[in-house]
Amino acid sequence: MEPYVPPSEPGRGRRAFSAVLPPTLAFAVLFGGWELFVRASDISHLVLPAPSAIGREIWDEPGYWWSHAMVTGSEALLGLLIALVVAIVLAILIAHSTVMDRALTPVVTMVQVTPVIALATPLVIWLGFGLAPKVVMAALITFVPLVVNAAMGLRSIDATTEEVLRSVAASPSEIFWKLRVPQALPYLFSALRVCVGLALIGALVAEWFGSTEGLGRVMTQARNSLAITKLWAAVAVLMAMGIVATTLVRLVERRVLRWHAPGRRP
Amino acid sequence: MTAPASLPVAEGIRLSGVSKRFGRHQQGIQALSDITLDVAEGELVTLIGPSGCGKTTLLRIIGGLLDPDTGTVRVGTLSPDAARREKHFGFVPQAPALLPWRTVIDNVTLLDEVNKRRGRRRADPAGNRPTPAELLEQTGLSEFGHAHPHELSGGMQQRVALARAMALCAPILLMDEPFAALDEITRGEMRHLLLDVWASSGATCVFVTHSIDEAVLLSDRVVVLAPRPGRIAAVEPIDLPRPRPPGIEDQPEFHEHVRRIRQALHGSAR
Repeated sequence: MEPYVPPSEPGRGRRAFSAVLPPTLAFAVLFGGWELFVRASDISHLVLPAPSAIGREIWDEPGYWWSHAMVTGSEALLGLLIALVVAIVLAILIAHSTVMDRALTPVVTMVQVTPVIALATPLVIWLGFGLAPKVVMAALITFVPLVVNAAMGLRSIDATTEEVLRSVAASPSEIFWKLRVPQALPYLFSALRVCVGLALIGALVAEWFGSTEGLGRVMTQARNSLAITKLWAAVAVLMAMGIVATTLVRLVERRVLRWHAPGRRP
Repeated sequence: MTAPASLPVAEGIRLSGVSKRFGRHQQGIQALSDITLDVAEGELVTLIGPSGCGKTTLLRIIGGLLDPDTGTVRVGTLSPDAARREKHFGFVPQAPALLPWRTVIDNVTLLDEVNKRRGRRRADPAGNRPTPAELLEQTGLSEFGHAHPHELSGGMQQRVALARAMALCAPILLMDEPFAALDEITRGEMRHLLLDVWASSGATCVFVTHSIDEAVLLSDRVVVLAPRPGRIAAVEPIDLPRPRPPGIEDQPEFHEHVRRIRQALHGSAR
């Protein structure tokens, strides 16, 4: 018998380099090309500002951008967490009971087929200019992928493994905690990766339709005063927030799902 | 419920008049028809037959995973369901069915962690119960205790499944084509490993297979099942001496048993 050697990682440094270099080049080409295009052509900065101008806009007032980013970010995060809790509860009901499946799946589908953005105005009228309509929008827009994936994960139980547990009379709750929940985690994480971006969309759109602070408010003000560079700066901040949030989810996922065989991730 | 005073090394199994039908009316399939069979304590019996003869169904009925329509099943003095609750079955399915998020050693001890109320750590005054480390040693997994299943080959994964079944020190082993998915060489190794492990446990074993060689090598008796409806076509005692070392497959007595079982299978197919 050969001794067990954990899989080694040859040339870690070189691999990290080859993983970082191509995307860096791609971004350099993208933003460099944009910068050159704006400088070379006689396009007005009121129509399309250069990336350097957008960067300066943020650089000059970091506190301003940080505070508005925090407002939008916490709205999105709160909505996502509420959607996550509700989705997990509903997914457990849907996965375990045919009656609940029949009752709840049409409701989930109804939310799914509704263009959630259409709800922005009615929600603002109902819930006011504060936190509530933003959180509700972020929750509504992320709820469907979360509940669908969580239910799929809970149902994706391996029948043979379940039978092994049943061969020693494991109770349904033991099968739930030992088998169903860990089995569902990869599905839930792949939904979460998509949903951090969606939650930002939900919060932002709700802000457009009525707010006193947040990046959506910054954008509507910038539009009204034709501060086009500021408009683009808000986009850049939102993009950075999306990158940070997605990276955080990936890091947690990699840690929690270390056991997961590569390539088996849904 | 209190734990029994000592660990039964083996228990017999009695099946009488067991029938099972899937589906209703004319479209249904008679999976098993009037099966009567006794398996003695410590005996290794294989169930062999073509696909659809109900051999896996029969195994699942013995294990209390499926109820028969008619007939009775006794495992020692218990019903299959009661025996299941008492953790009397070590079950090895065709797929390893390991939990991928657990290490090898945590998979081996998994079944200790469930069904805790039912006297799971049964009293073991004779010290029959192997420790997890001993099980890994016995199944050639000592080096792999902290590996995750996806790092192991199919054969190694099936060793883990075998160790997991043995960890209960159960009086009955139920095996559902455990080596069918493995390559020929690994399968040969696993058969001899099973013979070692089973001999040291002293357990009663019911083994489902579709390999005649495997049935002859392992069994005290081979039960040949015929399909549509699933029924016992022949029972062939295998009187080859034990232990049965590698190489026994080449002896003329071995071939004679293989020939007789093949004949029984052909006869039953008609």
